[in-house]
Amino acid sequence: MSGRRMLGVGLAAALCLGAVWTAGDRYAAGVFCRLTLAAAAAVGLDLTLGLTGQISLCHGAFMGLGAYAAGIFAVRYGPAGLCMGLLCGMGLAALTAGGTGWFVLSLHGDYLAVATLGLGEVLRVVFENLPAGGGVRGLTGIPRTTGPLFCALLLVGVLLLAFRLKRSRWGRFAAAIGADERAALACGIPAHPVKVAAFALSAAVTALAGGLWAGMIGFIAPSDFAFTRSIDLLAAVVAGGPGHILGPALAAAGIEGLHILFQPLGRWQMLLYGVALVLLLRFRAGRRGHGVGRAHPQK
Amino acid sequence: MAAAQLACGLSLGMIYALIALGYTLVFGVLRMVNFAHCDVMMVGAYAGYFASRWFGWGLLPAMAAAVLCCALLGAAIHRWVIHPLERAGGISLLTGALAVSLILEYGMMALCGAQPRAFEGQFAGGVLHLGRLALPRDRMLVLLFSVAMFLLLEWTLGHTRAGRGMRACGSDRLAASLCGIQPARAGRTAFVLGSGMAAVAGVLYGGMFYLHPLMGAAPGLKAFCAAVIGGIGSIPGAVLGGLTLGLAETFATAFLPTALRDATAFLLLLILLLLRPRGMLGREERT
Repeated sequence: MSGRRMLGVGLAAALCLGAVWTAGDRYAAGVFCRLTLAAAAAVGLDLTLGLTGQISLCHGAFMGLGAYAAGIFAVRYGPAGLCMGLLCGMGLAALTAGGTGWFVLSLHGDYLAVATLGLGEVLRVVFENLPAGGGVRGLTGIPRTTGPLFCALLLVGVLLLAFRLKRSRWGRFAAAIGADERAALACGIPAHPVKVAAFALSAAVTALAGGLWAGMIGFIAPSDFAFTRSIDLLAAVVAGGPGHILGPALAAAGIEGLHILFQPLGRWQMLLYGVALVLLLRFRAGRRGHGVGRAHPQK
Repeated sequence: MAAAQLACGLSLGMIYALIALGYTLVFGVLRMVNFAHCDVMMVGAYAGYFASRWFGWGLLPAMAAAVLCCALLGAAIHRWVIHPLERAGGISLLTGALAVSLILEYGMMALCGAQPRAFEGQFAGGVLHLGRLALPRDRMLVLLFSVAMFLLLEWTLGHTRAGRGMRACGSDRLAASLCGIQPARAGRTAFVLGSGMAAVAGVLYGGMFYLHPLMGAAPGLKAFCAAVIGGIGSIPGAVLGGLTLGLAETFATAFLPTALRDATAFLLLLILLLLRPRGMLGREERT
């Protein structure tokens, strides 16, 4: 236990040090923020995909929800509006996820994947047609208020929350549902409410990361939060190990880092990314079959 | 006005149906959503384009070349990505298919550039005269090929050994393998067959619109919705779903604000999944 705590403190200290170290240089600070925010968003997705085993293909859109709420408020009311927007975005994402989740989460496996895919596309169309959102060209001129320290603190907070949740009674409920929903139901665990709550919470965390993203980059467009963003997050959780929290965070930072690293390669970037993803998946599959979230358990 | 909308919606729906058949076939056997299907379709469109451009081939030979190309591609995808990941479970398979989709899209972009291209000559345009009716030729071709593909698939699944193997694996993998059917082989057949059908759809779709490395994404997602609306895994369901979606989308464009057009498919999907989670013609899964 104490080793675990020391690891946690060390990680938090390293993150804060990294934040202070990069704060001087604008480019380095931007890279640091992108890595930490991607990690925070992936931890958000891990709360639903990893713990309860419910797949989601719309977390990129939840990130966008947070980003647009924060961006619109910040453009209108300045830096103070950003905080309001962050809260607003989290609330909106939780409401959207909870509201649709209540109906959709009774679906299983691939059907759930499709329903969340649909939700993500609907949200993208909403972003494109928001009167205050600047349409397809995106929203510009958001005051750039979030710095690296802010992002580092957010990541530490999100990780802490996720670890506490995972070890709580509620987290064990969620893990039981992820392992075998029918068995969990038979033990008296209220599967449906727990799944909906996990989905809503995970959407809120991802939206928070999205809001800070808007405050850091200063420019957002609907294409930033399209299907590809959801794939990035999904790939991070699958590659990092669903339910491990720290693994998906590291994988997400790695994937974002790859995107930044491969940027000069232009159109080869995504090709290399795809190849790397296949190799990684095959490597993991070869080592052990991780049965989390099996779409169709074999009879 | 209404009749024109109806014709337009039907032909749009038939394209969705043609693509949806591939999704439903692979899902029926492997129980996975093949997110790379729409990009295999894109590769098929490019193969047809280059066959007609370089060798001056007509529609049918070019389409045959595209089908061959995509069938090989499908076999390769199954061999190197899907089959090794089958053990790892649903989410890994799904992510693997998404990765293949990225590789195909951006590989094509790196090879052929991102500029849109268009088929020339007999692939696109033209009017077909039937008595007093003047019909757009490419739309009629789509109708013809969709029906042909549908019949071909029904026949394959119902009357050939490979087709029966695929159906057996779809309904119970373990029992099928106990009867001497190799699930891996059935999966490969489904992939090859589905990819070949994607090539047909790609050449037709490319003829109606234009070619681009990302051209598969929009119709692919919608066709997938069509497959689910009709009941994924069911062949007639895919056709019914495609037609429903095409008609709904055309009428939504005619009577609702245009911004809603792209959302129509997904709203329809969400509503239908809530009312009838197995789709219109889907069967309740045994548990």
